[in-house]
Amino acid sequence: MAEKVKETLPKGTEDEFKSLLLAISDTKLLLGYHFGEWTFRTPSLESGIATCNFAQDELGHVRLFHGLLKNHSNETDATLIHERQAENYNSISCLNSSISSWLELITFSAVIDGGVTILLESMSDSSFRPLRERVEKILQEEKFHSDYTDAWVVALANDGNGSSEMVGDVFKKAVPVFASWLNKLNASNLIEAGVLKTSLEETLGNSFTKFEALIKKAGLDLPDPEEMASDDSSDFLQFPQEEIIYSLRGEKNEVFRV
Amino acid sequence: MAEMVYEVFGRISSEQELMHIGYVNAPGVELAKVYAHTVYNEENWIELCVVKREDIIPVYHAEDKLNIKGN
Repeated sequence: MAEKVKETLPKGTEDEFKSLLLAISDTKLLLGYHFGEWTFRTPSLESGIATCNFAQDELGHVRLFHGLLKNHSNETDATLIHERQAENYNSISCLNSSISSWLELITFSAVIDGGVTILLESMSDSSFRPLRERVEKILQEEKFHSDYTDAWVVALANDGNGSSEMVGDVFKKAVPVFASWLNKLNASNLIEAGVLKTSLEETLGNSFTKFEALIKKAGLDLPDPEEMASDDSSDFLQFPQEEIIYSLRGEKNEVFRV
Repeated sequence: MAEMVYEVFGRISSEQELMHIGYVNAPGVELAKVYAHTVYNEENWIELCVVKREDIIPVYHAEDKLNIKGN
């Protein structure tokens, strides 16, 4: 018998729902920031347009999730953005500071955007209709993000300029921080209530399968599975840099806020 | 990274013919497809295609046409 789709969050899932959506939207906010920051530093005009588009998409996804949090939790624009302190963010740590190269932006995005998309796929058949409907739109857009970053990873790894090893190194940094972020989330009640269809362990496994396929396609050496799952985020800041938070909050022009 | 030119074609309804809408530069077909989507996203295309410019088979160019006798 088909599961009943609900308009309200099942009882007992509110806290997990809020934490999960905040973690995803914080990560997407940072991804959008970095895509925006790199719009005018891309290798070609076409890639600038694509990167700018993806910045808009990511901010749009944040807006959709913030809308859900405002409707189904006690969040407001002030608590979500304007008055939020850096230490309350739960973004994936490799996005918490400036990204130093095009290669790093592309490889981080392939892992982080790609991994978060696998997590979103487990919501596409959610028993909570408002989430399901929003995720459907997001996944349509994410297909292009994935095609873009994957094609760039393959191109960079085969550019003949020695970038291959660097792409592999960035992968080895990004995959463990994604795994560490996912492992700290809790969704047991959401899974029991059918809001999420896949356990977080399975999502991590599916993400590794995706990363391995991309690494193989790029002709890189597969990292040791233990290395991929290791919980080492010491290379990165735990919370977003204040300078980035300042931009995300829109403080510079807050006088014009309506 | 060597780039190629890809011609972009699209249509906005099933009644409409596929029409040439522009081109993108890309190092390969996967990126050409993404660039076509992001550069020409002002319409709700129901179909969008890319073709490598060098794969288009010319029947004649304007210069050739000038040399065709009997027109």
